[in-house]
Amino acid sequence: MQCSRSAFWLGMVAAMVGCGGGKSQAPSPAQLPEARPSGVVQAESGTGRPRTPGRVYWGDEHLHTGWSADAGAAGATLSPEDAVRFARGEKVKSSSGQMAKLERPLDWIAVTDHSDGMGVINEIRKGNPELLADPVVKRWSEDINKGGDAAKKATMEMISLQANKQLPKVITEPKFAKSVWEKNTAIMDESYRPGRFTTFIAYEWTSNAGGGDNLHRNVIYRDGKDKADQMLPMTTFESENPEDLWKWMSAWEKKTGGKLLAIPHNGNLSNGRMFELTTFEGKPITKEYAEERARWEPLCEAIQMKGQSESHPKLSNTDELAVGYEIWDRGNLALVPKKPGMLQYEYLREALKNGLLLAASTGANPFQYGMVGGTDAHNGLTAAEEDNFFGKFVSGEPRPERWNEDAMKFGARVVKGWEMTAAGYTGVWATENTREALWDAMKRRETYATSGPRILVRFFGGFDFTEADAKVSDIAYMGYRKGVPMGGQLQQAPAGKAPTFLLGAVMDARGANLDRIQVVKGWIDAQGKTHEKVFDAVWGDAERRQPDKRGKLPPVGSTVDVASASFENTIGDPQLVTVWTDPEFDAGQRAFYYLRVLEIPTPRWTAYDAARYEVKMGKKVPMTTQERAFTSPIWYTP
Amino acid sequence: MIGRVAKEPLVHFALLGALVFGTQRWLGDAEKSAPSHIELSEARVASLAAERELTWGRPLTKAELSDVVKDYARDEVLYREGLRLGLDRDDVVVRNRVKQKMEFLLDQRIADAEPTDHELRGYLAAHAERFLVPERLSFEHVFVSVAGGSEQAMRRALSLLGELEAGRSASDAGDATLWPRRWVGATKEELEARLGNELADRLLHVPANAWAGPIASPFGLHLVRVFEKVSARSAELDQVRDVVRSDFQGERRRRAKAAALAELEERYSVIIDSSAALGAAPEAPVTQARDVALKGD
Repeated sequence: MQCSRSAFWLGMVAAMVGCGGGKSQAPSPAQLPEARPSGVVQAESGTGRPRTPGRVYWGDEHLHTGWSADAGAAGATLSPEDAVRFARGEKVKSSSGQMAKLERPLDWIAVTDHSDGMGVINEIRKGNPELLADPVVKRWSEDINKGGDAAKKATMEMISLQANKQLPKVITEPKFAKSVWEKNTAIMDESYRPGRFTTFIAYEWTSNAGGGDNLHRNVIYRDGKDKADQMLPMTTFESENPEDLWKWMSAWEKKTGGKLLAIPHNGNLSNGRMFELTTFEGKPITKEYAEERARWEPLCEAIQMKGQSESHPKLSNTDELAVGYEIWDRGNLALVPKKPGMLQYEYLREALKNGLLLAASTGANPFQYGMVGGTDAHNGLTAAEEDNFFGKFVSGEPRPERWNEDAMKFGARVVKGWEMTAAGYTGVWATENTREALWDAMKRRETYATSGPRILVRFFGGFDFTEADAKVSDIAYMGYRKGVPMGGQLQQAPAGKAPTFLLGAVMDARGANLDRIQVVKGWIDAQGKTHEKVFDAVWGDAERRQPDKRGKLPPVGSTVDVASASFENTIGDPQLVTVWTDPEFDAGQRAFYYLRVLEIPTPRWTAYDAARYEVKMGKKVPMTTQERAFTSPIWYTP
Repeated sequence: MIGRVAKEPLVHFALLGALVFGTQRWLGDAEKSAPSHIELSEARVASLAAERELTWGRPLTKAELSDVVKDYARDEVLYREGLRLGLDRDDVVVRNRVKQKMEFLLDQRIADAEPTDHELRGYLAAHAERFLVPERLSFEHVFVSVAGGSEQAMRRALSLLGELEAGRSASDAGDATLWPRRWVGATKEELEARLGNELADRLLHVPANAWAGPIASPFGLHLVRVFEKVSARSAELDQVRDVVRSDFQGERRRRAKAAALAELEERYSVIIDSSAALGAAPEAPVTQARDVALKGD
């Protein structure tokens, strides 16, 4: 079934780029130079795909529906089917009764309902001989398969008989139970449109160790229902230890021949546990542990509705643009307050640095994370932009009062509604819009996170990029020819050469101009100490904006009019492209580099609410934001 | 989280203690002396094992099976005591779960009935616009940046346009861009999402096989040459069978579920105490449905 479907859609779509032939195309392997420039290692690839990715595919790797116990209890009525329909651009009625439609559909979605709630339910399974031995059940089964009125009548009869305790005993037998999971996977397979819209089979393993230390992981399947149904998802009733999740993933792959990956999220709510420098049980990290973690967890969620986990100003104290940006640092998921020393094991940038240390000491890097963004919305609606924010829970769907209500409350500890972050999405550089191509790109970390806007970002690393490469009319062609894309690795710099990076970004067609692109570098020195530095690589308004004597680039300014929740693209640039060379490179030091792309300031969702509902919000409520993108890093190993 | 708390041995212990002493005090001696049996039939054990085996994809070891059974028995004690105290009542999670199971039951009923070709053809004809094979555009693209000023950019674009018309190769023309130089088989939807409505609209209306532009966009200036344009056309069933089938089934399922729900609702009359603060209007929902036009993502 899938084959005929994909053949049709692929034939139709044929990808916007990469199918045309001719010398303007991205290189096929045959066109790629045989001997790659020295020191450049190809990013690992799941399948050895024939073409280089020409297009970014937008999606959300983290979404809950009414089928998640906590979401349902909070009033979410939308099913995974509704969630998919909304993500692909159809109009749906939200749980609070508002009609909602994305103006711009996504390309893919992973509905990640909590595995802990996915129990089993009883039902008549078609054609089950044991069940059909009962004449009443047999008749029902036949009627149900006829559909229409007959089916409805059979259902009603069943309900009535049950009420009178006359239900045939056979159908209440637990062994005829069917899991919610099988229903979920059926929906994902049915709504998958290869080439056009991809639905991933997925779930969230929701480990709240010790009472709310957030160690959650989203598990994303590359395969379809036939494989996914062979085992039930891992629950935290089984174990809260991530190593047991990896064991489960390994067992699943072995049994089915399929492929899985896991995406941790909200290190910011883990109270020092997401990236701790020991195992879950407090043992030292070994090479085996590091290899397992890196194998199963190629990506980490950098931003979502419960804040960003990319960096914290207390850890990155010279990084001005990290200050005040969507920070949730008061406690864990149960708002148990943080103790000193916890923060450093919660944020990705720090984890990437510590990963270099562990790689040096154990021989493998457990924290080799690429970056993705998701919403974690619990109302089935993936609406991550400032001007369409539909909230995390149903109570946070658009209403005049939502900014000032309690979004989370444990005793006296409260997170207010206005603290919710309208974010995020993932851009995936893939060769086509299919489960396989997108998943493979995620596995090789050719992804980036954004706080919502669809900023186009390219990032290539190598040793031979020159300024001229930033001037060619198709920089991706040069990028793949001379280097590795985001998520890739560089090794053993040729003598006298420093890593060079071909990088660029284009504004969201319906969004704001760009302020700047920064390179975030992390490294370890000879004494085994970690460092980080943020470089301004290229910026907008360059003709009138230059760094001062101390090398500090002046702010881009602001055109935001809070009262009307509007801004103008009269500052910043629509596109930024450059080649950047590490000016402080030491060939003997392990390092990583990733991009942070910043938009000019725009109204935050709170400003849109204030303007639409004509409400006045407190002084503490931020009304502007600088939306951004974070790419997967490129690592350098001596 | 609830499940987690329920697994904590300490919590079990405390809860059990509270239950034992609490229920004794509440229910008196008569209840205390009533014997309770938790029987684990062979079929029950087999089904517990089967469920756990489905998680791990392998048979359980003896020790694991013993744990599963012990856990179940212990959970059953708590469950029954909880039921006796009525803890399942007025619990939003329990209520939601039971409601969800009921919805599954109503929804599952006709899921397996395979639609006929006749039904699918009818559905396709009735919704032809939804299953259109969309218009597709293939074009070459040259980008001119406005970074150096828009007047200068326009002059450069016009001069480049002249060169392209005179036969200059497009492959190395123009400024650096992240957009591809050739777009093949792009739909209107794709172009709008990526390039914005205005540029997409202009692209769809330029004449084929000639250089056109400069077209201004938020990004800069664009020169384009459309080399292939395939108009939208209606699809044959075989081209779109799976999509049509999925939509047809989905709609049928939703309708059947709504009808079943309506029939169940007829069995109940809702009486609301007039002294309740609701006022005279018992009509749900609280929030009126309204159309929210969403910009952006």
